[in-house]
Amino acid sequence: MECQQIQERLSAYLEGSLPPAEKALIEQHLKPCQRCQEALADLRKTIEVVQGLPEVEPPAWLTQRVMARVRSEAAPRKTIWERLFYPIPVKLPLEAAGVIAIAVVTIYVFKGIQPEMHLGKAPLEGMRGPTISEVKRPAVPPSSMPEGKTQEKEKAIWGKGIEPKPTQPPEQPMSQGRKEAPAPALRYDQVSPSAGEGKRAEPRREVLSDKEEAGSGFDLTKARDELKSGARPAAPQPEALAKKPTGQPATQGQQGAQAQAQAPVPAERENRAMSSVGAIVKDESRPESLSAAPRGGETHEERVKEKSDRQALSAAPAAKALAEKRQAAIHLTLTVKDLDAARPEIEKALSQLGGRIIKMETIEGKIVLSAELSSNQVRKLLDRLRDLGELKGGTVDSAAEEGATEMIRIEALRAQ
Amino acid sequence: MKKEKQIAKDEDEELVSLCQKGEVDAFEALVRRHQKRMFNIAFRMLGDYDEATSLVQDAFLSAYRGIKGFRGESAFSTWLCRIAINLSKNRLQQLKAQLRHEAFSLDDPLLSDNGQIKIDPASGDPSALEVLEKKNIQQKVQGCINTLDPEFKEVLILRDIQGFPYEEISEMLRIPEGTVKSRLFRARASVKDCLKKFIGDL
Repeated sequence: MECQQIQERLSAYLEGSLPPAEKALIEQHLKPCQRCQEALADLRKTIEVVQGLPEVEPPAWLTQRVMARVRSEAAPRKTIWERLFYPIPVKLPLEAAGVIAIAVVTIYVFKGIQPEMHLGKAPLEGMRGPTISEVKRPAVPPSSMPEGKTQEKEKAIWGKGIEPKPTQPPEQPMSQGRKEAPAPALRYDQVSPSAGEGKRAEPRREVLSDKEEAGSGFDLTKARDELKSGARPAAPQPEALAKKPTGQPATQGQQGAQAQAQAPVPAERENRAMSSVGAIVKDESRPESLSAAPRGGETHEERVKEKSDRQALSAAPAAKALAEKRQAAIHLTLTVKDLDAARPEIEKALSQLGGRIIKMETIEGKIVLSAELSSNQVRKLLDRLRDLGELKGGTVDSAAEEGATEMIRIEALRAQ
Repeated sequence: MKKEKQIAKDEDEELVSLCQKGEVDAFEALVRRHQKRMFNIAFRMLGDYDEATSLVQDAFLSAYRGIKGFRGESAFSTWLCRIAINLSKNRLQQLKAQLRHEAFSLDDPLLSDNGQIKIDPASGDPSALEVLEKKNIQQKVQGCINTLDPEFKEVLILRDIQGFPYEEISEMLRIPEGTVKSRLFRARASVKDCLKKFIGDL
């Protein structure tokens, strides 16, 4: 073996990891070979020196430094999360504040607009019931019921239903009710039916002015109860009573009538009734009761009166507002030959008189138009409308303030 | 000795599992237990104290980042040393590239331009002579180690300086034991030759 080869294996030899044969070979070579002996010695020394290299002490602050970095590593992760989500805790309140601000602004803006909207809407709401019925009145043959009886019953209802307005002093209506109600009831010899009809009438009236009329409803039921020999339990809640006639014994016919009362159809019938009621009422020379059926074509004055009555009656401010609005309304029914032709004419008339159309809709062959018009122009409008066709309603309240704005509701119908 | 090692290993495992649950303090304990060895490996690999300090920090930081992925397939110390070795090798490459760019650096006392050790002039203080002599030799040994290629250097450091068993070194470096040995022997021979060159008689 050459020295080179031997020296390459010296390390392994020192480790003792050589197979015995090889080890023996090396030992054999080493004995005479000075160079290789030296190399072995150097190697030993080298290993010794290397292994003897002292351990170096790391700086004392190393742990702290490492941990500072580790902790800032742990923290930065948090801050990365925070950076991603930090905007939210800040933004959420900002956004919430923004939304609230927008909401508040919106409310204020709408509050500013609302009076107008109410003016436009209120009369519509108030009128809807009557108008529809009026429109349909001619369309629906009154034959669906035994004419005489139902109509007369309905008259009775209206006679009662009307009472509510004057009810202001709680006692008064009662006595009135007593006076008036007995007449129809006795006439038909049917106490309960009349009561049922009273109920029937009421839901409708609620449409007109919901709570406002609650008081009147109450009176009605009271009166009714008295009518019905006072055997019935007093109604705790007039509204509930009016809507739910369950508490009262009813004949079959009565129930049928009640059921109808809730459906749209009865409205027509009621309308029919209404007109007749108007007549009755007039006969009985009771203008207050008349007011309940403004569609019947009574005067504006009456209506105004009724409304002011109601106004005083109603404790609820909402109802009051509604009443006020209604007060301003003039209801006109115009029967024309050609509806399509009449429409632009009406619009023209209104615009020429400085009126403002708030709402216009066409419902089942009729045009319902709401407009604002200064009260001193109303007369002119009426004249112009008369030129277009047969005009009903619309007595101008002469007492109206000069320059005040009237709400006008015009219903144009096709002549039949 | 083996028992002690086993106990240390068990303690490591406990601390590691605590770390994995997010306990930073457990990691601090691990740092304290291992930092000296880590530092010495880094120091011997890089041949520079400051470099070693910064490398140990990096190594621990990277260990902390990776500790959740540590499955305990090898001992924690083995895993940690591998990180130190790998980072050191990367750093050496960076330094080598830097050396090529910077013709001469005052901050580079150990390696001359040609990669050889600069011989520090001996101090004239006689009372410290012996100490200096020893230190001088150690510095020269380190200088010789510095001249080794990383794959030889690491084996020499892990085996002769750190005293890891072949098996563990093989695991750490992911090379067969035979390769570890052959590299070690070649590294020793190189160092021997290097020392002989600079010091003459050993």
